[in-house]
Amino acid sequence: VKTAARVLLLTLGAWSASFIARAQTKAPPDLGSATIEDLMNVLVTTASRGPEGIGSAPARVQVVTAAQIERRGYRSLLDVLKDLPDFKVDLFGDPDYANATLMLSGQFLYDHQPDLSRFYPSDFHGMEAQRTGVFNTIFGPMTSSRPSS
Amino acid sequence: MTPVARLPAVVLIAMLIAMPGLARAAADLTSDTQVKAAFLYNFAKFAEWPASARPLTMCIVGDTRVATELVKTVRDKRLDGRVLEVKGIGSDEPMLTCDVLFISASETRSAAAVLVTLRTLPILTVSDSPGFARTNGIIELVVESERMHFAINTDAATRAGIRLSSRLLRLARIVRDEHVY
Repeated sequence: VKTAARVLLLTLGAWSASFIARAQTKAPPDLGSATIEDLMNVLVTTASRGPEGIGSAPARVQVVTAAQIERRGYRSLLDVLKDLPDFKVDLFGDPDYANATLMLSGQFLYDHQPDLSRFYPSDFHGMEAQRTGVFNTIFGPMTSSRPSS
Repeated sequence: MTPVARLPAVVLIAMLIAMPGLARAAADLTSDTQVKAAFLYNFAKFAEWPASARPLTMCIVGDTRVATELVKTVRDKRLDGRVLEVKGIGSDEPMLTCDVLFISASETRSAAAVLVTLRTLPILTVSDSPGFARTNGIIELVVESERMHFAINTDAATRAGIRLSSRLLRLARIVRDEHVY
């Protein structure tokens, strides 16, 4: 039985490696010279890496750029969030403790909890938007908002 | 040979049968941003603007990945002698110099008011937002059955003074103001 398990494990490893290699080594298609008819036959994958209708895609990404942060005068990441479409942010009590409710399209994402770091980078409320630079929001079942440099 | 001892051989055969199909499926999928960028370039190829000598400017509002892909797509290319220029802009930035304007779905709400002011200008507006072609937009990208298609509002194109080639119109789902044909 041990030998059988070993053989099975080795087989699985070899199969996975070969599968990944085959999937990754294929050169990306040159779409720059594709005709519009060709493009209509290309199988597309969305942000979730699985093929699906664009209307039912579970994730969409919105980027707030450093230039927009500066122009719109955001001072904290909460300012950024408050301005995002479909987001509603309510602050309770002392804002220094970042007790907040976040709602997206009427659904509670985060309800009056003091520890925003559970979902968001630590010190979320105090983080200065200007220092954060680009701010990406990914909408969907894995909804999250995170700063990137 | 016991059933347990036979198991590895059975698994191996099953995997050998499944592998080519699975690998092909994983490798054949192309990111939607690459395809959107290629469509934008093709739309520009089959559109005709009032004569101009300045670079043909393609503006992207919202999804910076599309802008990145479009830069790669149009590199070293010209259309009717015009240099192609790609600009990533915010929904509150000036759009009057754009010849093609792609507004990603996440930005159509904030850009809605601006779109109304642009509707009679020669700007080819494109979006992946559902219903875009019926709300002042000209071209709407739609993914159906894992493939990207597009709808064109010919009334909106006429209002903007942009002529679209018959080849493009033949492939499109035609949308008119208030009506779909």
